[in-house]
Amino acid sequence: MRPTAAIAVAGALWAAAAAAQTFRSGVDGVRLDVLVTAGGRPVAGLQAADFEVRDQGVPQQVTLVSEADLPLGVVLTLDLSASVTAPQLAALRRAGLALLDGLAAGDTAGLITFDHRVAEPVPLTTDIDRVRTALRAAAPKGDTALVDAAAAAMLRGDAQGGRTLVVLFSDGVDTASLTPADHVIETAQRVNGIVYAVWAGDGDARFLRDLTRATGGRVIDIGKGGDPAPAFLEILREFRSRYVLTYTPSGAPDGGWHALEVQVTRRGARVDARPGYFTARP
Amino acid sequence: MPPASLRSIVAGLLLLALPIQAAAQRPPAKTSSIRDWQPALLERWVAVAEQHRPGQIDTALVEATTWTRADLRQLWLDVQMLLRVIAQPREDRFEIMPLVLPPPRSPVAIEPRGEARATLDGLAKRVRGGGLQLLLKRGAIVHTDVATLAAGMVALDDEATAMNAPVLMSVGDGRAAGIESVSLHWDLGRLMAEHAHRVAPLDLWPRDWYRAVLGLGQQLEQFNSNHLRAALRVFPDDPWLLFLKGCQHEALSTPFFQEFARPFRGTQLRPDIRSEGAELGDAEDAFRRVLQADPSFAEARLRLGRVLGRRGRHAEAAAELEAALAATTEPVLQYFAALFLAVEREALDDPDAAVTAYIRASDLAPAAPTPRLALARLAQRRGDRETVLVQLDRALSPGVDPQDAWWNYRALQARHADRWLTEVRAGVPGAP
Repeated sequence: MRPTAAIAVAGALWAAAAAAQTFRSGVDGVRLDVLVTAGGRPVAGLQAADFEVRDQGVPQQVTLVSEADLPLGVVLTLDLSASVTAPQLAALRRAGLALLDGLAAGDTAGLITFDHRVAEPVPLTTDIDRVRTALRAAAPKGDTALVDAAAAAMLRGDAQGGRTLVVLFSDGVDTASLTPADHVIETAQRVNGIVYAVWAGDGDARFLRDLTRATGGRVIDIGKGGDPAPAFLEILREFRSRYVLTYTPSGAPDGGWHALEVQVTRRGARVDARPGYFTARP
Repeated sequence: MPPASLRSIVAGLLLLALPIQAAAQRPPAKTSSIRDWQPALLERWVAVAEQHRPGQIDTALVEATTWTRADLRQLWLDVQMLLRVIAQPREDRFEIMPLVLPPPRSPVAIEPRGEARATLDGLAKRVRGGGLQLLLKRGAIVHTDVATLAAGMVALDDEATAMNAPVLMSVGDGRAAGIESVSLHWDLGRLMAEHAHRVAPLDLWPRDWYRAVLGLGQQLEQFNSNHLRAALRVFPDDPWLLFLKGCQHEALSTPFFQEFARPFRGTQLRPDIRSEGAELGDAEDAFRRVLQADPSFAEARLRLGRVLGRRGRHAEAAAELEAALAATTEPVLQYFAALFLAVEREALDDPDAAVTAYIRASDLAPAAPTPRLALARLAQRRGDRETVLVQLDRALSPGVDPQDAWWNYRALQARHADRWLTEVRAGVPGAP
């Protein structure tokens, strides 16, 4: 019976997700990906009643969705600028393939690569082999349009709907985007989806920190020349351990920035979630 | 033009090893002398300058490619001696600063005697008067043509002579990617152009030479501060040279070069790059001076708008960009004006105006992904999922080979540099 139930629940949530785009005026529903950790390890077994969510300071009635019921959409977003050396490229390919191997049936994956231009060799698809093939063919060149690539990845995941994880790898700061970083941070506040960044650079990672924080994700600093594979797998594990909460906002003023506070009853637990979201003003 | 994979900046002293070694070789404060000076190289230089046909790889140019750095350093002294003799025929002791880095504290003294002096006087007599300016122009073209047409043929040098030359450091993706010495032919060319201006101050050919040479460098994103300073020393108020100065500072303010310079800060290595704010300030000053001299210079106004926007003065920026958009009919400049205007409108929290400007940019360059990505982003903000998908697909489509002038913005100002050089060559009497 479970597959049928799962399909039914997922179907309902897809519909909810489509209606719950946070940029809309008159938000019908909000979905929140929440990571709860204690001592650096994910805390399992929490129920909806364990969460307290305040939208603009107003407590909300939340529903907890089982993670297993929601397929993932993983947008693998990789820096293939000229600064990526041959050994780094090989390690990056291995990391990407390892992450793809960790996906479950029904999950989707897509590949976005960036140098001075942002390209999408494979849009989100359930045909993971296509992504593997594209990953093996990727070659570095050009400058680093990190900011534009982040925008493209978030928009792709958001437009696709569902539960999206953007895994963004870069080894350098942006040297090629037109888009100002703060415009893309604002986009991050408007889209569904979580961004995790794997940083292999030695410069200023402020953009990646701000970006990931805005979505409730984080930066994993693997150091210059570090192997991204453990970080990629850690991200997938961590993402799968996140709780998915949904609620229909009530009592909170509509339009503009909605500050969110998420807490759990479990003592000593740390909660990571997006700090808020935007809706269009009515 | 495809974006260059490597960009370069010329700086005076980039390598730690360079000042150390150079200091060891630095001439003492007391003037050194060259005894037994011989005019043979100068005679050959005059012959090559007279025989070379601008823009051709001819026998004369091939001979010029055989000159080593040591030869070129000698020519630097010889040509200046010739100029001094032409101006003051009775001068018998010539003190001239040699062409080495770091600049020496004292000149080299040369006292040509006997047959050597007679040859020098003979050469001076030959080119004195109207012939001098022509010789200087021809000389400038010889060295320019070696550097532009026959760079792969130039004589190899030993390391010692290479160490005291300006350095070209290649930058790729914000990181140092290589280093090499710069051809001294550029310095010789500059010497000729500068003296050609002294001989005939109203002739704009030297200005055109500087513009062409700076443009050729900037076309490859080689930003040569030495050329720029020399050019503005001679033509301090020229709108084109000020414009290229502004473009250089604007380029050096970008993350591409700032990231490259970051590891050098606080060290003895000194790429000629200041902080982002300082470079933007210099760029703004330069573009404003251009517009004071020539208010119709639309490209300078475009860049001023861009620089103001990057400095956070969005309303001023938008006004300049609107004016630039109205003042130009060149599609690529219209594209940039619309694109940058859209960025400023967005910064001013006017998304509708931003969308209008991005659409205009996209109409001007339908294959360019940059405005489409922005349109997708703004559509998401409105909740217009259909437009998000359409614009995103067009921006990211793997089936399309997109071209976007934005990727080459740092070299846009030099898109006519080849034509500028052709005009400079054609400006030498007797050129084919």
